[in-house]
Amino acid sequence: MDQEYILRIIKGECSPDEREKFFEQISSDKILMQEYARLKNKHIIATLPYSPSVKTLLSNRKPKRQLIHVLTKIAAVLFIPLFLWLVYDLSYQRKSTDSNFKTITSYVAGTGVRYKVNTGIKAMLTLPDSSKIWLNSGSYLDVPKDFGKNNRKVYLSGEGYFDIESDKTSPFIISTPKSISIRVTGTEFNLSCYENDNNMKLTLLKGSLELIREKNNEIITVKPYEEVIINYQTLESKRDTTIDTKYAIAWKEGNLRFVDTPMTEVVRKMERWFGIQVTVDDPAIYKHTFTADFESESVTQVLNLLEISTNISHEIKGNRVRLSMSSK
Amino acid sequence: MKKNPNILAEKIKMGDVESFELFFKLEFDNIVYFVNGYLHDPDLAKDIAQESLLALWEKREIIDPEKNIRALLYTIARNKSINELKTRSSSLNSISLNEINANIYALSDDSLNAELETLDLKDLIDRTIENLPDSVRGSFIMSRRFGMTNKEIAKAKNMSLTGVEYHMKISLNILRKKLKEYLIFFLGWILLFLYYNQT
Repeated sequence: MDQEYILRIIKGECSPDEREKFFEQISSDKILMQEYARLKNKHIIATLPYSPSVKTLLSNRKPKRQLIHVLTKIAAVLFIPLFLWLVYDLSYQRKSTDSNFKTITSYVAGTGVRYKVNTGIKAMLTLPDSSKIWLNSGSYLDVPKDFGKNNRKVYLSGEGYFDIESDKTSPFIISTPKSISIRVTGTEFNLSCYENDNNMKLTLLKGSLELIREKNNEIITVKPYEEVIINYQTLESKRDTTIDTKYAIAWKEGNLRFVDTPMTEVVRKMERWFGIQVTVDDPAIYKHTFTADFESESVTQVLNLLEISTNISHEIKGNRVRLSMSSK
Repeated sequence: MKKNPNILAEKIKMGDVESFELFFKLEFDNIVYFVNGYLHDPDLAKDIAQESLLALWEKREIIDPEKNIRALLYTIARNKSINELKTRSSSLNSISLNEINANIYALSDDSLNAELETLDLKDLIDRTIENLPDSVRGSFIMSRRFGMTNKEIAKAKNMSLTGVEYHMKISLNILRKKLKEYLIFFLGWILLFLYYNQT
C-alpha cells in the first residue's frame, strides 16, 4: 500500500467500503498504522482553513468581563496575606531543593560505593572503565569496590541510560531488584527497573544485549531499536520492534514526555521527576491517559495542563499534590 | 522558533479580553477543523473547540509568551479529543471502531508534536489576512505591524515601551470595531441582495 492510497483515504476520496477495509487492515499492521498517523497529522495541520467564518467573526464573546474586574479587586485584597505566605513557603522550598542538588551522594556501603539520586534531580557519572551512566530521579547504582578491568558488575534500582565502553573479554553485568540481569559488551541502552513499578523496560539503541532471568537462567537476546517489557507479576515479556527510541530517552535530554500514557504511570513519573508525593482521590482518574511534551515546565504548569485537558484538578501543599476529578 | 515575546500571547496571559477575543476568532474554525478531522462529528468538534479555548482563557497564567501558544491550545484540544474518542466510541456512528482506534493512535503519535510545533502565531495572523476580503485587510495589517515586538516598535518609532503598549491596545480596539462594521455592512448587503431577488 503506498502513500498516495493512504492519502486518498485521509482525504475521503474513496468509497465507504474501501474506507472500512483500510481501517480494518491497519488495525493489525503497526507499520501501516504509524504511516497513517504520520500522514493524517501532517495533512490535517497542513490544511487548516485559516479563514474564520462570518459567524465566528460576529460572535460576541466577552469572557465574564465585568465579573473578572470585580473579582480581581476582591481577590487582590483577600490574597495579600496568602501571597505573603506563598512567598515565604516558596523561598523555604527553594532552599530545600538547593540542598537536593548536592545529593548525588557516593557513600561507601560495605562492599562498594552507592551512587544515589534523589527524586526531582538527575545525574551523570563515569565509571573507571569509562562507561557513562545517566541516572534518572529516584535511582541508585551500586558499584562494588573491585570494579575494574576484570569485574564489571553493578546493581541498578531505578532508571538509567547506559553507554557502555566496549570490552569483549569482560562483559558488563547489571543486576536489578527483581532478579533479572543484563549482560552486555559495548552498547547503548535505557533501562528502567524501579522497584515500585509493575514492569521493567529496556530499550536498546546500539549493539546487542542479553537479558537473563536469574531463576531459570533463561536468556532473551535483544536487538537494536527493540524494546522489551517484562511484567514483574506474570514474568511475561513483551517485545516491540517499532518503538520510537526518542521517547525512552527523552528524560536524559531533560524532557518529560507522555504519549497516551496511563495515569498510573503519569503519577509515578511525576513523583520522581519533581520530587513530589501524589495522592489520588478518585479511582476514576486512573481511567485517563495523558499526552504532552514538557521541556522545562514547572510542576504547576504540568498539573495545570493536565487539569484543563482532562478535568483532573489538583491541590498543592508543599511537595504534596492531591488529584481529584473536578466536578464540571 | 524566534524569541519574540509574542505580544498577543502576552496580552492574553495578562487577561486582556480583546486580545483573547481576537485569538478566539482567528483560531476557532481552525480548532474545529482540527478536532473534526479525527472525530468526524462537527457539533462535537465545535464543543471541544470552545471548551479548549475557554480552558486556555481560564488558565491563562500557564501561557508562556516565549513558547508556542498555538501548540498549547492544540495540545489541550488533542487531549480532549482523545478522551472523547475513548468515552464516546459507541455514539460516534459516522466512523468505524477501527477508524476511531486509528485516530486515537494518530492523536497520540509523536509525529503530531512536531506538526504542532510548526504552528506559528505570526503565521495564523498572516494567513488569515491573506484570506480576508480587501476592505478589512488594511486595518489588520496595521495591527500586525504593532503586533510584532513591543521593543522593536519602540525602537523603530523612538517611543517608550508603555507608549507602544498603549498603541497596541488602541489598534486592537480599532481592529475589533472595524471587523464589526465590515460584517454589519456585509450582512446588510446580503439582506439587500436577498430582498431584491425576492421581488
